[in-house]
Amino acid sequence: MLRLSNIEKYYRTGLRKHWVLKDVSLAVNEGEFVTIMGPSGSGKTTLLNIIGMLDDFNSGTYEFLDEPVHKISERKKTEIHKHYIGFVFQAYHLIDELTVYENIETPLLYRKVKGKDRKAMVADILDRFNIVAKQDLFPSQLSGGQQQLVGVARAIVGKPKLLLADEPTGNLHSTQGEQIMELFKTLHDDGMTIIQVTHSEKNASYGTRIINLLDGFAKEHSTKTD
Amino acid sequence: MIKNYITIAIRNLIRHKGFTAINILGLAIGMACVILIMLYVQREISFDSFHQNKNRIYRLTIQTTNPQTGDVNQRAIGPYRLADELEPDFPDFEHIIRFAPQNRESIEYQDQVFVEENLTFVDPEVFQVFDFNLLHGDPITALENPFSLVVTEEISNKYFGTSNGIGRVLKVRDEDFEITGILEKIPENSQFPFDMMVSMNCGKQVFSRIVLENWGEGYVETFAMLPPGIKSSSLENRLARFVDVKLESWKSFSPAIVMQPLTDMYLHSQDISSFATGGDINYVYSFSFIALFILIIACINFMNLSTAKSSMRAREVGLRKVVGALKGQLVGQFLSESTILAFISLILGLIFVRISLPFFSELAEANLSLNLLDNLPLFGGLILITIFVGIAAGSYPALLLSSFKPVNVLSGKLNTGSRGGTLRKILVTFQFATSIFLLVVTGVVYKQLDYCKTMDLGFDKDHIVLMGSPLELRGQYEQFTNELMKNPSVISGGGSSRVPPGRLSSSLGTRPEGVPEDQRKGMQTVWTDYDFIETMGFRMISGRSFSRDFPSDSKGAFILNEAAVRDLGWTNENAIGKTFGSSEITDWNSGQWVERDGQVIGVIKDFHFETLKKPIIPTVYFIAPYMAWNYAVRIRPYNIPKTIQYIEEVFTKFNPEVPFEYTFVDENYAALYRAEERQGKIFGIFALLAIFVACLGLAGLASFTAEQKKKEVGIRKILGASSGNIMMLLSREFSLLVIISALIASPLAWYLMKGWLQEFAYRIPIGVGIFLVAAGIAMLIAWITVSLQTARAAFDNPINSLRYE
Repeated sequence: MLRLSNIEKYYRTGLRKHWVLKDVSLAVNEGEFVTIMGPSGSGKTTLLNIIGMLDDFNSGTYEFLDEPVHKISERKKTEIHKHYIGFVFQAYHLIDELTVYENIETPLLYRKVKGKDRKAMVADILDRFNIVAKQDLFPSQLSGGQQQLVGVARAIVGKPKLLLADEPTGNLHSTQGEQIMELFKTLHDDGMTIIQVTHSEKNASYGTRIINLLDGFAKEHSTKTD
Repeated sequence: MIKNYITIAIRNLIRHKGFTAINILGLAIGMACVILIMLYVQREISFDSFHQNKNRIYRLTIQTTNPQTGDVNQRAIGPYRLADELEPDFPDFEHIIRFAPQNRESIEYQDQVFVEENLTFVDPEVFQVFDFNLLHGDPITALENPFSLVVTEEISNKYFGTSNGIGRVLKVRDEDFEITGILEKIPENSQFPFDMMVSMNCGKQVFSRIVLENWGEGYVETFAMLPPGIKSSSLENRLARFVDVKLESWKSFSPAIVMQPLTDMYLHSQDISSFATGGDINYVYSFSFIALFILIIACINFMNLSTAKSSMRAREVGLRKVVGALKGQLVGQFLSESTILAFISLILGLIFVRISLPFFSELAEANLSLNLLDNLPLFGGLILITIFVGIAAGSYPALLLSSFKPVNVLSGKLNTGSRGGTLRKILVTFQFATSIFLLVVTGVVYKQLDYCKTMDLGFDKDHIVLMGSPLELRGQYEQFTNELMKNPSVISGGGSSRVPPGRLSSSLGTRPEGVPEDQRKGMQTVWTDYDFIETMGFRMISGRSFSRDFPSDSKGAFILNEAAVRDLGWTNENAIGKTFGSSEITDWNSGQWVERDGQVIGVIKDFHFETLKKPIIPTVYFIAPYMAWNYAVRIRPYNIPKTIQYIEEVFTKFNPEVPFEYTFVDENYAALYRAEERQGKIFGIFALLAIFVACLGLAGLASFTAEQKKKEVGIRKILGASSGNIMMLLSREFSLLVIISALIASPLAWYLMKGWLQEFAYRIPIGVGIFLVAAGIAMLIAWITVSLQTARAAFDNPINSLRYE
């Protein structure tokens, strides 16, 4: 599904290069549930952002569904992640001014999904996540776990091929966290490709493969086969 | 999608109430200014635009150039005979129409005399040229008969108690005139505000020979209509030849006939003497600029506050991008937000206009009304302006916000508040520069007008009554004056052709001693009667004034002013006794000019006869009662109404058929600068509005800065800074901006006002003071505004702001 080869990312401070990612190569196939692990500052989030096309890299190549991401335009990138990628954030990042329903609806608006289909899709997700009763509430009226639930719902409402999650349970207490991870597992079982970043060994155990990042170097830690 | 935009826009506006209020209030004030000025401009450019032939009608003006001074004089009021002389030579003119408006015409009806102010004599073809409609009567033939007359329904009702008075008879100038048509009321936006039109064909019977035959006499305005497609420039050469032949005797003044388009008549006639007073295109321009600038200031508020508060929206932008928003879609969202805001402001602005319109109408001396549905150009214009404002104000914030990189804003790395900081400073500087500029302009206008009004004119202008003096009275000035003097409240009285502060516009050839014929110059001439100089209180600097004790004074005695003596190279002393010569008309019926020669008997100390816009020019006075068509009376400052009543009685005794009409010299002086005063007032009001709107924005920015620096303020206070120190810290930046604004605005204002002051021969110097005052006012207001916002931060307990760190 996607293939990163020799990805490098660094910041310059004066003459010195400060490496964030150094010579990272990685391939993810469709249907995998990959966990990226590593200590703080090892570049996990940066790698996830690069995969999600939110961040640039300095050298190397990145192919997503056979499209060379390092060569294509901003517009094309937007098109790609609009249609194929969903994001879940540690801090949920819901739009405060919009209700639960509207938050979930937003990606569909940008995809120009027709009103009737949109209603059906949002209703379907609300139903599936059991949050129909909350649809008219604003984010500030929800608990953290509920907010993250909405965050996941928003990420997958457009049926992306790839779900990216950056410490999705980082701000949640354990019960809520488990709930979200169970949800991820279900999604994975339904065929969704997922890449998550986490500190937690427990969360990693939900995945099929773990990649350890250590000071910018990727190391294939173990491969679990189902 | 649009629905989503609107939802989030409205929720955002409600959430940030202070921000919304500042923006809407500022924009609404800007919009209100724009609407008011649009109404004003619309009225000004609409004058006489309802005539279908407006592009084919020209006013024929006569232009002369004073060979000595180079002064160009353009007059629309011209000789009666011009039309008759033109007709055979210029078949190109489809019609030539003369108007001879009379602002006080006595009408007799059933032994009663009425005075009509809007009567004109006019050529019969008027209805084929101008779009004045007849409700009854035939427009082609109505004024064919020499003694025919058309009137409005209102006039018909007034005299005959019926709106259709066709066939009735009114007496004008001792002749019976028959009503042959009923005129539809002429629109308010016309320079032809007539309600009675008398056929010009009676001219031969009712006008004097001077009016009928003298080329120099101004009695009518002449209009010509060209066939479609013919340009006025194609007639230039032939008009010049015509002038060469007909006005041969005026040769030294290089006369020319200039065709002024009817469409220019209202706004472009400030320097043309004509019957109607028009508008001024410069007002139209300057007011439009001011409105535009206030609107820009309001737009800047929106831009500044939006970019300053962009951190609040940054996360939303990042998220929307992550879920697939294109940059264009985000720009669209922010633009629709600002446009919604602009429309809310428009509505509030319209309410402001409703409230302030009567006041503004009075100020602009224009009868304005706001009727959006009947005024589609205004309605459409406003919609366009509102959309434009929404886009202009929203574009920069929209571009800035939509360019945020989601990875940066979502991880909180971006200090969004500092983005656009430099531009924000530039924009604030622009706002204050504009405000200071308007303040300086207002200040200079007021100072100059104050200077004009309080300046020593060289004589005492108070308690002098002026009246027009009919021909019959001019032969009996001595008796008239004696009769008036019987009342102890009357100090003295005398006749004169010109009275201050009127224009001196009788430049005549002179024959001063020792000046060869080819070097003699024309000189402004005032024909007076005895006692006029004493009545006005002009001071003699040498020699003596006119006196009945010297019989020769009535035959040839001249008094010059100092300027004339200087111009001739004489001194005040040696001027006395020199020979001098000028001319007058003694027989009003023949209109013949008679030369008059004699000696200089006195020199008058220079004083301001005309407005202070004019320098004191060489002037000669001599006794010529038949030319002294004005009369001045100096009265004592008590019991004025009673004294006036007495003067009226005496006047009516001498001129039973002429209505008594009077003015006061000091009031006439005050009226001289009315246009400028009005301009100054409008500038002043707009300057204050500009500052107010700019300060609204500043208040928003200051509260934002205070919020941003909360932590810094807290730390500083713990380290021992006083509240005063903190206020200083927070206001320093704004103070600097105001100073820079003053430095930018001052030279511009100085340059502009230097130009404006050129209109005045006597003017104030523009000192540094006025710039300091303007900058000081702006600084003070800015400082108060900022302090109100920052006080809370400065006085707050530092623990509160540091608690969460």
